[in-house]
Amino acid sequence: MKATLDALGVEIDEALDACRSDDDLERIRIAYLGRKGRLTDVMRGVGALPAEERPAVGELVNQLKRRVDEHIGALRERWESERRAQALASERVDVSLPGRLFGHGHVHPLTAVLDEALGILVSLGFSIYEGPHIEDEHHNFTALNIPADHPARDMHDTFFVDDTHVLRTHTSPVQIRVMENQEPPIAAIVPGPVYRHEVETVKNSAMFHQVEGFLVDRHVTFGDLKGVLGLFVQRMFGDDTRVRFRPSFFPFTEPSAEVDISCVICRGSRKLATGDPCRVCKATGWLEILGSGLIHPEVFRAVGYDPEKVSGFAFGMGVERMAMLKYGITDIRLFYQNDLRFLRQF
Amino acid sequence: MKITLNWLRELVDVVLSPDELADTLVMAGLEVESVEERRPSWGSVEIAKIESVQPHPNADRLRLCQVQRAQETVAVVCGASNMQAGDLVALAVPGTVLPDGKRIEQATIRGQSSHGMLCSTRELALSDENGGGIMILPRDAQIGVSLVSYLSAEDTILELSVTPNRGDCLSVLGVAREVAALTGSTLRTPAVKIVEGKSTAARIASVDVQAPDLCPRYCGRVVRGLRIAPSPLWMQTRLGMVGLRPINNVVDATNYVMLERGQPLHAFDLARIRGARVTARRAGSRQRYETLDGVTRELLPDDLVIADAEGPVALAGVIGGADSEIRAETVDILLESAFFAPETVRRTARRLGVNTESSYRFERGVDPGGTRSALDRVTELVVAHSGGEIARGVLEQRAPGRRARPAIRLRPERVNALLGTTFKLTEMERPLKALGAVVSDKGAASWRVVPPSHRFDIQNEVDLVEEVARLIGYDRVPATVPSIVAGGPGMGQTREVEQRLRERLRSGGFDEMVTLAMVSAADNRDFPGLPELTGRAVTLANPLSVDGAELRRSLLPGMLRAFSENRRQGAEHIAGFTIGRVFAREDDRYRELQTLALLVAGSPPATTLGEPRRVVDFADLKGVLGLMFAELHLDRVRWEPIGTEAAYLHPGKSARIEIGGVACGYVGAVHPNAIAERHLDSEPWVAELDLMRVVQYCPRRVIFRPLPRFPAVSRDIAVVVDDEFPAQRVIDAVEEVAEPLVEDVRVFDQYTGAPIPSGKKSLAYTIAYRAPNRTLTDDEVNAMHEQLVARLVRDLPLEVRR
Repeated sequence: MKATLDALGVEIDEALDACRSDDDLERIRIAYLGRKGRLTDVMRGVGALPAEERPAVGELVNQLKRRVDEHIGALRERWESERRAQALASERVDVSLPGRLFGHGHVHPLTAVLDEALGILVSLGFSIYEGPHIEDEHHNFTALNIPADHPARDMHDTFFVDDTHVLRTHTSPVQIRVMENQEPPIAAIVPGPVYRHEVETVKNSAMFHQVEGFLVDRHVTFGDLKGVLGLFVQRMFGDDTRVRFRPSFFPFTEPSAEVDISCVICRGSRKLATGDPCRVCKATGWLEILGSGLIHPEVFRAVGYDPEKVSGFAFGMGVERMAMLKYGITDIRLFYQNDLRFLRQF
Repeated sequence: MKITLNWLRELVDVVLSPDELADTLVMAGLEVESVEERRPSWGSVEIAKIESVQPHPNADRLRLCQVQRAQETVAVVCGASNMQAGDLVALAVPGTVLPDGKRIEQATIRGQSSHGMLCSTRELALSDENGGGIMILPRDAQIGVSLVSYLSAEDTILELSVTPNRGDCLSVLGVAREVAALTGSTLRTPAVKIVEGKSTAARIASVDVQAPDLCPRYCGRVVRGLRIAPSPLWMQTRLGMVGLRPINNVVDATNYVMLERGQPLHAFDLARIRGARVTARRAGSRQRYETLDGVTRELLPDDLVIADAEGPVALAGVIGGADSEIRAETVDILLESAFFAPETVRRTARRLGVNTESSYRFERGVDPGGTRSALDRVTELVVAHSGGEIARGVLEQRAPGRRARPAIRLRPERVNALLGTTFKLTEMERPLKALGAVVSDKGAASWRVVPPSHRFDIQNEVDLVEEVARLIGYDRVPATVPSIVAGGPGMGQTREVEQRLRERLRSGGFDEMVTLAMVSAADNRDFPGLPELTGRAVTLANPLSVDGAELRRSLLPGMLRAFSENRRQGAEHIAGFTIGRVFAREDDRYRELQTLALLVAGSPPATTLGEPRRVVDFADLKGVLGLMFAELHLDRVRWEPIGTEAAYLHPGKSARIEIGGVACGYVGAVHPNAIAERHLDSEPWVAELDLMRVVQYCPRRVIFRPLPRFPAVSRDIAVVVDDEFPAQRVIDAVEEVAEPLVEDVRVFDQYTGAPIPSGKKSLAYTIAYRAPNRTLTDDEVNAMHEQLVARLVRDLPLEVRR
């Protein structure tokens, strides 16, 4: 029996040594280890042996089977690794070819800037409100302390829709609407288009966008206005942005302030690296970016608030202006021409 | 408004450099738009005196002058002939560079040496005309003095932008008051010397006010026997610097004093005032009237006019009349200085579209306390420059019962409470006094403050708070960050949905566009928008152009414009979206909807090499809309063919989008007629959605469904139907059966061509079956499927392909 096994072992070894392909290997495996394989037969034969021989012979058969299994496994592994090495040596992609194209659109630069501003203000605790674009004169002017026959109306070239309705010239009428509808404390921001009766030029458009904000509570101060806008400006334009407040006039605020930031181009130095005067800030080092102030007592009275009991600040800015400064755009009309060569830069 | 630094210095000491001055004014709220140095190239031109004039020995047309300078007498050859011995002239000494770049040298002209040049006004660019020869200066000029300093021609021009509340700053005096208050310098008001003659003004002319509400104060002076001529050169130079054209010695004087004092003034030719009496009254009736700019304008009954015995001679505070203006032959004048109510001037000026230096100032308010002093100042200048005699007395009408300005109660504590400051009482009082306000009754709780007459903008306590802050400096107010605790919607649902859609559309390959709200009537007629936008289009009462005469009913015309512009630029593929308002008017109510529009056209770039280019179709649009609805978890969306319901869409390639059974928008190919009318070169696919409705149907929250525990089993079915048969019908029919074990049904293929007969198409569906509590057996599923198919065959015009 042992001799038979030895002979079988030699035969299998020779067959495996001669084997060159997976198919041959499988054939050999089936021929010896398969259901009807020769080694399988031998193993079956072990059962017919006398009981005292069985353990020794069984052990020999098992040894042979293990050896054959290992041999086949080793061959398979070797060939597999040779194949991988071959594949590694031959497989290549041209990484310089273009990638598969996925849709890739662009958010309008005005939206990008507006979303950034709104995100900052919402994170500070403000809520967004919107209002109608066709406004009555009361909300657009009178309630905001801009009476008829007052030169302050000249600050707003107005589109009229009928005798008493206009296209809103600013987002401030929403201030009135929000205050008419609720009691303080209110922290509101109002984004959206506004309209001015102005001929389209490089600087002017009959429609443009504003963001307005206001805070009304019991002890809101001018210092709070400075603090909140300072924080906003630094988040919007960078931590090293300086800010200054200078007196100005808006009918609906008193005291009123224009807010300037240090020029985003020359960083307030008034000069470019070339030594030429900075044209963006007209060599002043400052850019006017926001109008602001404490809400005028007349505005509070118009909505039925008692100016002795509440105070508040309001501010507003032009989205186009911010986008122009941020991206270095010099012609406001580009925002509305929708030239894809423009839109796809953002 | 422009002023010059030298002029300012006549009224106040300015120790700051021009740039420092500008900064100081800016930080006090007077915006300085520009600071311009005027330094003539011809600084070395000096005043000299002609000693003698002789003909040039070698040239008929030249003169040889002996000219006296401060230290010496020199010979100068001159081509002009308007001078004589004793005249004071402008001598350009050798080395002078004229404005045209020409350099004056010592020269020998036809054998005579010449030590400079005698200048005309044109040669020094002081005027466009040469004034008939060289400049002959008035007697007050001093030999040896530089002409630049004599004419004040070297100066710094400040251009100020004055906010509408600060009418008091629309003059040199106004700015000087600010400078004095800001820097502590003393204000100087030039003393006015009036030498009245023998005649009495009241005997020569009279003034009357019949509309005291519109004209609370009217003052006049009479000057007789004057001679109209150009103003002195220094005045012409100064007026030129601040942007006013010199006219004559009377009109220039009125303009000069207006700029100096802020009080608009007017001069009438007395000979043309019929009845020698002017009356400030309402026009009384509609009438036509010619103003001094030569335009005939229509007056309304309530317009304030200055009239003589027969009719208007001026539109009060706005513009003078053509009849009574100062002419070369004028000898007697009536000078007017008045206070007209800002509202009346503004109404008339705006209605007539006239904006003059005078109306600009009256609208913003002039100092009611300065009427008389400005009149005296202009009278002084007129007489100094034009001669004549001042008649005795001022003709004056004043509305009775005008009281002193009421005092304002100022609570110092309130100042600090509003500003968030801890200013001391003395700190607050100083700026108020610097303004010229009278502070009295200084109790601990409140003060009485009477602002000066020129600060009519200071009306109540909060105005004083601003003045205190402004003059102490906004930079002295410490910045504090309040903790904001207020209710509110935060970002708000609409905005949040818009942001998510924008992001989704962007990643779907769509570019965001922004279009203007103004469109043409034709745009609105062709694209009337969504069905819920009922009513008429909103028209603008004062449009800028016919292309923007109305407010858009739809975002689509703007998108089509963007489409055609981009095609013109050579774009092969356009995928754009925009979010915006559309408008309509129903009776007296205005309606606004927030809508979203999409446009896709052309051939999208191949997604990878070797892929054939294709042209976009309905599936592109439906695909991206599906992406949007998926983002919002909207699943009850239906697409219904609409035929001709939206006239601007192709009847066979369009649909109504319904969410939860409610129409929310239209989608489709633009109608071929609209394509032709707009000369579009390819077929754009568009959609417009009512965003508010979409937001309304967005589920407020997503609720988790447990994962299925047993496998689903699918069966396919292919049917042959007529071409027009909508694929959705099979899905609807399956859903109608409401078999609880049918989990899903969807179309996965469409085929036309052999062996399918023409006019027919094959549609393939897959149906998924699943039970929640067990694994379905094949037999069970087959039975169910057979039953379903049998029902489809029974109910629908289709044949099952086997």
